[in-house]
Amino acid sequence: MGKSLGKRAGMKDANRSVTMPRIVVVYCRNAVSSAAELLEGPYTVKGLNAFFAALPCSSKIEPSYLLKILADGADGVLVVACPEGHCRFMVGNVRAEKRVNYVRSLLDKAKMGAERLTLERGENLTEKDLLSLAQRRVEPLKILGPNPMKGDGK
Amino acid sequence: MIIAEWKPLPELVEILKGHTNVLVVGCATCVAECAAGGEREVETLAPLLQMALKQEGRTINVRTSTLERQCEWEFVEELAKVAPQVDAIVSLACGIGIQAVAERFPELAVYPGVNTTALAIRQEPGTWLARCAACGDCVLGETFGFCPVARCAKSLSNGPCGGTRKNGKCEIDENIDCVWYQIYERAKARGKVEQLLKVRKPKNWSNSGHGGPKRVVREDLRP
Repeated sequence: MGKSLGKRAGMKDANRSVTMPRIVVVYCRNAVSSAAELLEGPYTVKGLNAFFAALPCSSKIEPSYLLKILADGADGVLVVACPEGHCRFMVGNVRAEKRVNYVRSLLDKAKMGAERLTLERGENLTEKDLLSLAQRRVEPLKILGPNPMKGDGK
Repeated sequence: MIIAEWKPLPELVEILKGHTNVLVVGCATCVAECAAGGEREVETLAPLLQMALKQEGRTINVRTSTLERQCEWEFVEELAKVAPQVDAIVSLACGIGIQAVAERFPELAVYPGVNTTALAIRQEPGTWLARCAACGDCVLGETFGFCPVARCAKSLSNGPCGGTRKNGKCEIDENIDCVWYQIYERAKARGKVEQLLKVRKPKNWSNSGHGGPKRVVREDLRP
């Protein structure tokens, strides 16, 4: 469970914001320094509206999951994987990168913009690091504009 | 397996422009094995279509379903409950499955979501190679287990042509093996190169596409 660093907010509240992009961060729990640093669920801190989900390995992401998150109205998705060569499951993070690149190509074909989906690598991450990685996505997503699917989500 | 590839997204967007409730149907057999039309691909294409159509100013409802086999009537029947709730179906099955769905639900627009391309084998994860052309006159016994119809760019019965590269690749693509080079190498390994000196007569194409639509009847299996 997440700690009290940020104000937790429901995603419906987040949808009301027109200036703050809604970012979904899916990250490998092995990239985090300790269980105490895990972030889960919606977080709204200063200048950030994000939803965090930990995975047992970044390779657990599937193209369909990433696309559904965007089809449901998230402005951007950030996948956080371990550095290359540091995957507990050998090549999980390499597979994650391939899938992210594949989905980015699909987003371009759908004219949604590949930049809505990005991958970052890191290890021994703290809660603050995760929030910082998400924070870095805010400006690029503001430039990209709101997801046209916003409001169509189930 | 039968392999297929997604149709270009703009083509799918164009054909769906007049529809508002669409069912994307997959097949859990061949097209799932070649990562074109199984459950994963259905669940990937559905949100992608929604987003691509949204960019064109259209909002559509997309349902999804993946049948065990779209080429068997018993499985196609599973769509009977959802069919009345949609105005179009996009099938990610091979051409056989697409036609089965179109035949079962003639009142609906049924569109191919894929192009069916070959009968192939998975060479390694992510790579599929054509192996059979369903020619109706199999010569694999004479060609040491390599099909020159499907695997030779010219479908030569008496190869190789003059386009074999020195490294045994085909002149049309350096990544494609010359199948007649492979046939020769296997014949040599088995000490039977002399068998390749026999001139193979023209194939009997009447047992395949050249004889009209193929129809096989087994009286012992009919009702």
